[in-house]
Amino acid sequence: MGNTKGGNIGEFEELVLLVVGTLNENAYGVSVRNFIIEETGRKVNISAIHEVLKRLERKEYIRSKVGGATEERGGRRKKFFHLTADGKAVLDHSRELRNGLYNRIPQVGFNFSGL
Amino acid sequence: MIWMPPNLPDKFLQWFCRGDLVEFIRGDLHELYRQRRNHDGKLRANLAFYWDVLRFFRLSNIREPKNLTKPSFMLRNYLKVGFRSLKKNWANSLINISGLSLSVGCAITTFLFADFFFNLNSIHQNRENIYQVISHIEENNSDEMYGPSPMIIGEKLKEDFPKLEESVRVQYKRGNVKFGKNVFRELILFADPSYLQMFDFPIKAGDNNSLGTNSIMISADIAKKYFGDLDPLGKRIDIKFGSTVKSFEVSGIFGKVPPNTTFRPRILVLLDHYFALEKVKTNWIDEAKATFVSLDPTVSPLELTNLFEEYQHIQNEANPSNPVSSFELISFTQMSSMGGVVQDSIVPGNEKGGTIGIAITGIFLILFACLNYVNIAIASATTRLREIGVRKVMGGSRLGIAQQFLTENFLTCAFAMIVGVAACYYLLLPGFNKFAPVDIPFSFSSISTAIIYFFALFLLLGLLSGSYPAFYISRFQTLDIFKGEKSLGGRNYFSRILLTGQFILAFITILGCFIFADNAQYVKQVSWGYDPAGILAFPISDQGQLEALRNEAVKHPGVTLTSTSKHHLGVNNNLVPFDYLEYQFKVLSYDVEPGYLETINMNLSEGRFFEENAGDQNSIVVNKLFVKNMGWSSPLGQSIDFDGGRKTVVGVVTDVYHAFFDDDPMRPMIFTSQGKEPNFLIVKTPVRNTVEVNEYLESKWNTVAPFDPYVSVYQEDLFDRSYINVDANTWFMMSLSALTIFLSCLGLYGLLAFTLQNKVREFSIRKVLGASRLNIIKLANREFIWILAISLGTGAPLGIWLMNTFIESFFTISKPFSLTPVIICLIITISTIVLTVFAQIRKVTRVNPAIVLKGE
Repeated sequence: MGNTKGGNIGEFEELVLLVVGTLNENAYGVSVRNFIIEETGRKVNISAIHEVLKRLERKEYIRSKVGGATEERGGRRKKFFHLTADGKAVLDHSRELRNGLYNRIPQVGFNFSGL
Repeated sequence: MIWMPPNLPDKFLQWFCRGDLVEFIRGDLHELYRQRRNHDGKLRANLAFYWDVLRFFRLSNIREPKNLTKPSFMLRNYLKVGFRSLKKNWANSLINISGLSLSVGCAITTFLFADFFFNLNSIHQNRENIYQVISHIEENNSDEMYGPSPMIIGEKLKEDFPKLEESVRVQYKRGNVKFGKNVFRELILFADPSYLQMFDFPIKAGDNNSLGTNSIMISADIAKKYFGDLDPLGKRIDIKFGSTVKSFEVSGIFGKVPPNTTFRPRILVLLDHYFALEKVKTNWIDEAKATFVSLDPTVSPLELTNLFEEYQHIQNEANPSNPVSSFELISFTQMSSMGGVVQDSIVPGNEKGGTIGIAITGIFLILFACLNYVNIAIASATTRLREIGVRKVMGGSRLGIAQQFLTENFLTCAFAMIVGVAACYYLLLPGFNKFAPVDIPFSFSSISTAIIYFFALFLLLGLLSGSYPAFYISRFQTLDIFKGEKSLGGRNYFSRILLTGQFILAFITILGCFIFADNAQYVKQVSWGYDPAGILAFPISDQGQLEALRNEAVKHPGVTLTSTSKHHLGVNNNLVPFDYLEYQFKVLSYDVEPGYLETINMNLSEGRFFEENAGDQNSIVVNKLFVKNMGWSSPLGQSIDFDGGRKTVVGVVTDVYHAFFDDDPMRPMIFTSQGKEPNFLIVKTPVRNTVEVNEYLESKWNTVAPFDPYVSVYQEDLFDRSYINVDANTWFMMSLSALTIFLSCLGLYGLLAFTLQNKVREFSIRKVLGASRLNIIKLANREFIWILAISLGTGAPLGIWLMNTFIESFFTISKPFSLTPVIICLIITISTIVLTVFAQIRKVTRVNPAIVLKGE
């Protein structure tokens, strides 16, 4: 694992990482942005997405390859991202952590029906 | 349909974005733009695009600057090349540096001036919290501010307003100060004892408690004047006020104060003496020349407004003949910048407006010089086109070239700064001081001011004069340079308008200056109407002393005539209203001993002078102007009512000038001989004996009047102060016009160099095809002739008109307008211009066409 501190990524980073994984081979700036907006209804700026993608690539959770020039981009190529093993591990780790903690929430808090 | 996003942000993105990112970022943005365009319409898509580009403008996306040359290495190279090109074009460099340094000198001088006047009286630490009580008085329906205030107001304030720390009153009175044989008339300052605590005057001997009941404190100048090398401490000084003599013991000496202190004590005693001498009291009627109060720093002077209203009522009741409309506190700092606003103020200051005006003039001079320099710099860069080309080919970037020219420019500016400081120190500041009312020292109010100022000036000068040429030159394309297709600039309308403006200014000042100087010369040579040479006048009011000195005077063989008079022509003029029948005007009146008119060399035009034993008590001698005013055709024997009785005219004298800068230098005069108590002794000597007689009488004076100063006036020196004033003004105007003509010729030189450089090839071809030298000179000068003609046409009449208006208000004796100064001035200006132009044209006419054309 490239970064043993592992799961310590921000909430937004995690979201982007999940989206990259979800979109599989079709993850690039605009598609990630559109996906997040559609799925979560959050307002995100494209520059923020680029910034996070740069950061995740630096941490080696994702890797990029170049291709897919289209006319609507003025013939410019896209930078496609895909999940690395490290990236997958981080997602797993954070999911485990979350589930573990979630399961340990005492039931008492939810027993409002007795009132 | 492929929509294109707005161009500007797209270009901006391309410019700042890192090379490895730009493709993907732009791609994403364009894709997004098209998406939005289809959904949200053009406006929203455009706005979003702008916003997105701005959001991408962050450090991680910005590329590093292209230029990676090592600055230290290149700097040395730039400096070396800079020095070489300065040396190679030494004539150009000399002109550039002298023009720049002259304006730098002027800028420094004006800054020193402004700095001096903005920091007047900075010696007093507490000056922000010291206030003067100012009285507002209604005069002719306008509100006037007066420095004096009621004697009691300081004490009352102290009683009624606990946050007032101290109050000090001051008064002035003249007295004859005597120590041993040294007697002079001096202005004595009377003040409350806390004066020394409130103000921070340096004290060399004694301290700020040294001023006792019968003690006196003196300035270092006064100590030197009276005591020379003796130690004044403990010595006794006598001061005679009117007929009262008081004796004081010197208990302290003030140290040297900085020149920007406008309010300084010379001879200081306690205010109690003034009360005794003038029989005044601490009340609402008698006035202190000034009352100063110091307030607690936390208190605003406005808190006293209610109290002052109360005082105003009390004052108006106590002194109904001189009612005050209100009182106000004005801080000592502010007083120093209110020269002329507060009447009867004892804190002389300068008006802010004038100071700011001078500072702005300085900035304009710098601007002019820089703009001139820009033209010259660009023109001289054309000789270095190949160097620029080679640098670019060898990998020099545009920024590098710009850096190089800026460095060279800063080098020139550094020279200009050094020369400018020297020019200011040796030339401009002394010259400036000659006509300014004070001596401004070559020093700044603080070291940090000086450092900031010089740094800012250097930067401003360097960037202002250098940035445009540097970026202009660095823009040249290598290929154009080597193909020889590089031509410089367009039509340069801006430069031309600027130059025309400069020449108009130059013509105005130089013409005005010559007319002024011509008038000044004329005024100095004009006859006064009588011969003042050899006449000595002594103002003495004590009859015993006057007689005694006269007795001494007649003993001297060099004295030819003596006389006495009440009021004396030129020295003590007595202007009184003349009111007889329908005639009402002002006359100068002198009551004289028979023989006075002969003594002062008056010229008789009709009748006779006064005669001894002729019973001339009711006779008068008048001057021609008086006769003219009365409209008499035969003045002798006419009688008028004047000075309490019927008087008959026995003689008429020719008109004389009684004053130099009076509203009317010639006025109607009446001489009477009623035997009034005289206050002048007049002694006439041959010119060669005058000084000797003066010295002889001075030596006798001690026995005549040991308690009074010896005062003698050479009649001939009467207008000397006015002459000095006129000379200083002439000098100032001369330098101003020299400056303007120099700067504008510099501008002409620059523009000419610039234009001719562009036309060298054209002229060469014309030459080859047979154009004569004259032909080429004509062609080269065509447009400049126009500039000169326009500026001469507007500047010259404007200058003549302005100066004539000014002269009428400045000189009361004005010379009739003549063309001589105008012609002299035109010859000088035009020959300067021709010389400037000739230096440039010569280059063009002499150029060998073969060399120029071979370059291609």
